[in-house]
Amino acid sequence: MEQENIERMGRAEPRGERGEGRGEARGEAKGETRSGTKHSLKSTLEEMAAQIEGLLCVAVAGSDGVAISTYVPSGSMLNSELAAAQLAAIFRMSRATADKLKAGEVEDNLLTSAAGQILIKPLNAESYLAIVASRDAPLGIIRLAVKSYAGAIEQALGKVG
Amino acid sequence: MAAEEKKKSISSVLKELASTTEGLLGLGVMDMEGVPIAVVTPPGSSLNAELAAAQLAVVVRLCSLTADKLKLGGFDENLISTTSKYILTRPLGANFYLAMILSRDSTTLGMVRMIAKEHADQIYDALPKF
Repeated sequence: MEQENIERMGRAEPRGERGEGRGEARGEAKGETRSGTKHSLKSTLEEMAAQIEGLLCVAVAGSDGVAISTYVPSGSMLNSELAAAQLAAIFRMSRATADKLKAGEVEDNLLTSAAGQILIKPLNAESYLAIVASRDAPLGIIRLAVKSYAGAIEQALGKVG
Repeated sequence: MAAEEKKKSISSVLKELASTTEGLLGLGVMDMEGVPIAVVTPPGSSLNAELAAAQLAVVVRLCSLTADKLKLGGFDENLISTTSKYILTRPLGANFYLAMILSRDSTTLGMVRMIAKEHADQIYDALPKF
């Protein structure tokens, strides 16, 4: 299963078709490349999302609460912009808490409620990855998905920034 | 007087739970204003209970607000995993919360989650009901 993931991740990498294929002026090609990498972040999120049953939203957002890329599967009523903003507050708060209680770096923050589970994983100092899933979604799968995709997401994010 | 008795019973429940929890650095019941009600820290733990109570009250409030805003039902539990600790908070009714801090080396995530639920139920029963 893991091999399959890696293969699929490989396919999701931008091949430069968008920018090069058109052979436009340099400025425009640059713009195309940027949208190409953005697509790769989005497609990585989509791929990860496909593995998680009961998923409500996947988001990569800044600590300021602005979403960088989000994916909401059809059927989910979750407002991803609201989630990105709200979860940024938790991201900052968990870091402040770890800091004040001298607990080192935050690895992740797991919030459980009556109907949902939210896993927030810091990607770097300014951005985080969040998975919002229904309460009956298997936590083990969520954690595995985050673990195996965090690197690819960070990489795609680096290209955007 | 009656309140004094109930308070005692919370701390005795806490002590009992603390003695059977491996890797525990601190276990406490705090109010939502961030004031500790009863706290147990094993000898050698350098945890500042006042600071933890104040800081974690903010966490609990924020988590409640988040679950509410995202329409995900009542807030149950928040677990911050750091490089050295597990920092867990769980609301106990509307006015109090349970806080548990464990060393990451001597326990597992599954264990923490299991213990937390068990402890929260027992402590909630020992709390005075208004």
